[in-house]
Amino acid sequence: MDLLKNKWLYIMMIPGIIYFILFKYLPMWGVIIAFEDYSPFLGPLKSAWKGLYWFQRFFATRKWVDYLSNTLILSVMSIVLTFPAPIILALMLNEIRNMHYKKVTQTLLYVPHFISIVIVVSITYVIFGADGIIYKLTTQLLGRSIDYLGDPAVFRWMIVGQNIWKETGWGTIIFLAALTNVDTQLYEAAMIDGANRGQRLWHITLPAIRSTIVLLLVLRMGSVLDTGYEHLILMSNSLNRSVSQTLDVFVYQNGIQSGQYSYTTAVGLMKSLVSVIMVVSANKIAHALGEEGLY
Amino acid sequence: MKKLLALLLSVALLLSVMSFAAAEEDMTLDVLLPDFYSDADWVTLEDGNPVLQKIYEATGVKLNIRWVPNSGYGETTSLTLADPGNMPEVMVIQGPRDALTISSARAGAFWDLTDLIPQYPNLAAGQQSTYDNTAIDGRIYGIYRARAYARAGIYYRNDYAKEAGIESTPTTVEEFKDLCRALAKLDNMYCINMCKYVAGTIGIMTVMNGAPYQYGVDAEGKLYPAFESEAFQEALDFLRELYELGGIDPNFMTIESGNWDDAERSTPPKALMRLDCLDNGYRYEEWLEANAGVDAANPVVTLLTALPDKNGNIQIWPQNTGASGEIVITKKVSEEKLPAVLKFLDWCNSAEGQTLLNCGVEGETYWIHSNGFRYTFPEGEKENSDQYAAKTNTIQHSLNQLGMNVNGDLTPATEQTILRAWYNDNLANNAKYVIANPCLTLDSETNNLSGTTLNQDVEDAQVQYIAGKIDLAGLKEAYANWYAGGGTEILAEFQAAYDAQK
Amino acid sequence: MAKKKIDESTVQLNGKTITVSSGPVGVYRTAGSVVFDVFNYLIIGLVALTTVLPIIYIVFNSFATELELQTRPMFIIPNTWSLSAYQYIFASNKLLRSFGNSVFITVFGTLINLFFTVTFAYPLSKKFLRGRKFWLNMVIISMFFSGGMIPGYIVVSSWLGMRGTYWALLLPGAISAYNMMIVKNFFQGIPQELEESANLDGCNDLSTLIRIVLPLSLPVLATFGLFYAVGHWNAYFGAMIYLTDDKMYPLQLILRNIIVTAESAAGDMSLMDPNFVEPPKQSIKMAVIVVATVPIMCIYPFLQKYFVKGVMVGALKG
Repeated sequence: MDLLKNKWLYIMMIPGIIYFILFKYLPMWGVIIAFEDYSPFLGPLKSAWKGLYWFQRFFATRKWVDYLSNTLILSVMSIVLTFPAPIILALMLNEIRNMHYKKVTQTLLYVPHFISIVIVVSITYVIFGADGIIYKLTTQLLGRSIDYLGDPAVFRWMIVGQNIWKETGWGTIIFLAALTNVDTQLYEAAMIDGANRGQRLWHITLPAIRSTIVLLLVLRMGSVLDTGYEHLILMSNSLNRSVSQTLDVFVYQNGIQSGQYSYTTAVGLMKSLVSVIMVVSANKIAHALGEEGLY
Repeated sequence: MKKLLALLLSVALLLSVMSFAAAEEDMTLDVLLPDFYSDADWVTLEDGNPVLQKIYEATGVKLNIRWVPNSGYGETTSLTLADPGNMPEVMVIQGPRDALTISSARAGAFWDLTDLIPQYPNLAAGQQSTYDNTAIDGRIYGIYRARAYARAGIYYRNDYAKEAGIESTPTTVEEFKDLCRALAKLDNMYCINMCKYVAGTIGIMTVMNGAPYQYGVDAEGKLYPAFESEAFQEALDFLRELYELGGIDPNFMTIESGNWDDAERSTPPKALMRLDCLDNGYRYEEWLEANAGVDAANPVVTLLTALPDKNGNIQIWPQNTGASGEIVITKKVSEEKLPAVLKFLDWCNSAEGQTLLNCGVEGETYWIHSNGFRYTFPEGEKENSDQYAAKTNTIQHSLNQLGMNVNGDLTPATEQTILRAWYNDNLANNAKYVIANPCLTLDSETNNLSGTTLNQDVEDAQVQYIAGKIDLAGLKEAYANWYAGGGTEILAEFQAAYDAQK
Repeated sequence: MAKKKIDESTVQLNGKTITVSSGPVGVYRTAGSVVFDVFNYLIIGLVALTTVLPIIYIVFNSFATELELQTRPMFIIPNTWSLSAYQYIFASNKLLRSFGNSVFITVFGTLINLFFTVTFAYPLSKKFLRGRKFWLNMVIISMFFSGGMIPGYIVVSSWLGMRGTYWALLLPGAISAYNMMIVKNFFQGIPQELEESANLDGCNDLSTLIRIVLPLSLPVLATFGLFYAVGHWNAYFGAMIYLTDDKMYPLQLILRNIIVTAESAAGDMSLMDPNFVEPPKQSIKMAVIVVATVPIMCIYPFLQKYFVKGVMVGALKG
């Protein structure tokens, strides 16, 4: 039987299966925390049962709609702006023929990824603050000043901008790796057929990384409610709080900081549910468009 | 008969020898402490740490310390409590009124020390009010770590005050306000140095002006939020007035608290006053003496606190509750071992214990100079103080985290500069003026769940009001939102708990 | 390093003279192409510049004195150069030791990661695998549902008894589901014919994997090896909660504490803070970033060559 013929495939999977069971599924008993008044010392078996109480409390706080909308707006902006950036940059890098130039610029482009977001925000405060060089430049060029750090309207652009600066370079690695798989003979055949650079890009290069792009996009859909909290809390202040309060920030401040594990877990559970639905839907859409997607 | 006597004597001798031996028996104590010097090596007792050695010689206790970087101590606390089999025997709890601490105490994670404390002289000498502040359901579960109570106040540059025409130190709140207005009128300088962390400035200003802290109690025993009081609004209006006069940096709400010092330390200073911990004031003076050529005999910084308001009342903002966390004894300690552990903690509060934990060993981590004061470097080696500090960090590390000092400071005295002497006098004399939040020890579930966000929104509105971005109507609207968003429930829950207390 | 000359030759085609070169992308020397090139080089150069300026700012500032950082508004070149920040950092051999720890964790962690990831991804890339959908669903669910920090800790620490060992840092993250899905995708992209011909030659799946697929997947392996390595190098949280012996601490844990403690105002100094020595703040922060970042960045140039090889079968010559 084919099981025997491919026995090595099944044997190979054993380490991975054990891994997922031990480290991913065994701890899933923690989900019960969302339905209890969990105290770490008592443990899950002795903590009081609360049922759907925490979920009700969450929806009873008036502002959950605000948190959700802040989260979604930021997320959509992220997907529209930060997702394509590494792709475009990778394609541009791919067109560079001078290997030295390419190597040097790549190494420089990767550096921001290693700088912690705490430092990035510090630098932002220095450059965009009232004494900062960018603030002064815009005041001179535009005639009026933009309150980069305080104005709620600018806040989301700052967050997205910081993320683009920090992660675009590093994000090109996957696409550059995918581009090495492109058969050079295709390029040569295309040239012989008279294709110009743009056409080669459209008909050969892009399709080669299309499946990678689709896969990453589908996976990205799973993080639609994730904004992180560290970055936002660092950038938020009294003036822009109305737009900086996302789900993750709210959970961190009211859940983690006050030790409300059950509350945190309940909200996390809801987020997980949404994530899975988004990913599965995105995958189905990908299939409908003829793409491989996740599987 | 002789034989019986001999037998009795030998039994008595044997018993006394055994008890003597038992009293001298070594004890190992597993301790969990937050670490502020995780970049420095730690010398263990086995490797010859002189401080731990001295502690062992004095008490017979071998301290086995597990250090956790302070940045991760919060998470580690919850994980430690979740894994009772591997708990330490003694640990620091940084948030005695955190939900985690309360639920763990109620669940029996810590020993109830209420009835045991009176048996130990040093522990019993602590402040009852502070013990009460850290108590849960009226029971004391830990020995608090004392912090200076009357720490909050004002410090300002008196040299620039003279330039602005104010010669004498203000003695009332009204005179203080005049000082601020005069300083605000100076060109190119701000009066009050403010940053993103506004709670201190607003707290000090409003409380000094007569407002309650967080919640007040009216004549009928009803609780109300502090922002409802007239004195509170008056203080906010004053800050707003200062802002309009140009006395506060227009962009203060975007300055990170890590950069708060910058405005004071630039030359010339950009801000002349700060509402903050008074010890930051004398440190500012010492920085100026070290870096800006200020003469130590004529301090340019003046410390100010305990000013009577227009009704003659003196109130000081509670920078802390008199304690910074507590030391708890976990149930990992058996009932038989408990008295020995308490005896050790009691010893930690003696002069010898306090000195070892907070200062270290003389000649290794601190030195007494010929003027009789304690320093962190040997006499005449001030330039090398960094090197000595580095060595001290490997030996002393953050042992002061175990220090409780409930019965006052019994360590060798440090040099009293003019300002430090003033500061210590202030700590002793003005503790009685520090007010408290009446709801500090009360339970309110809504407060636990949404209190942080609700209070933050109110604070944001107050900041915007000070900065002129919203007017009084906008501020009132923010207050209405506080009520509607859960404030009403919080008040009701606190009221119920408050009434039940009586 | 030998310079690779690009092979070029001219060819007459449709009346136009074209220069053909071997290399990943052939080139037309048309006007539009040249303009595009100039544009491209310029933009990439500008972008690289925006990433490099803040780094230069940090590196130069790490050599400034604390006094200057506190009193002088933002500057790049210090007036007074000082090594005090680096002296402070290297004052203890704890940092050297933790550097070694980090290297150990990174190297072994990455090997473990690659082993587990590849052995799991390869079978899943075969559409005919029995139970494929089941396992993939299991993986996807685990990506978004988790028990949380406390259950994870209890499982690793208590139930599996890994507390205080490096296993707690190396095993719980052995497979990143995200990475594995992408690696699986790459494996799916390898032409079937290559594997089938290997099968005909009598190779079973294991040797096909080792002899054919892996050599062809070097860019992928290099990519995810790099990702995993960087992840290990930057990680501090696992070390913070699982390690009990501070001699085992990795570099990032210590450095992070320096930054965070430097940020918090006056920390929690006891009531009797004698001659309170202010910990150096700004300059230390800067030096810490340099010390933490430089080592891992040096890895990329070594991996560069793996990104060029691939399924390239041959280049057009002359």
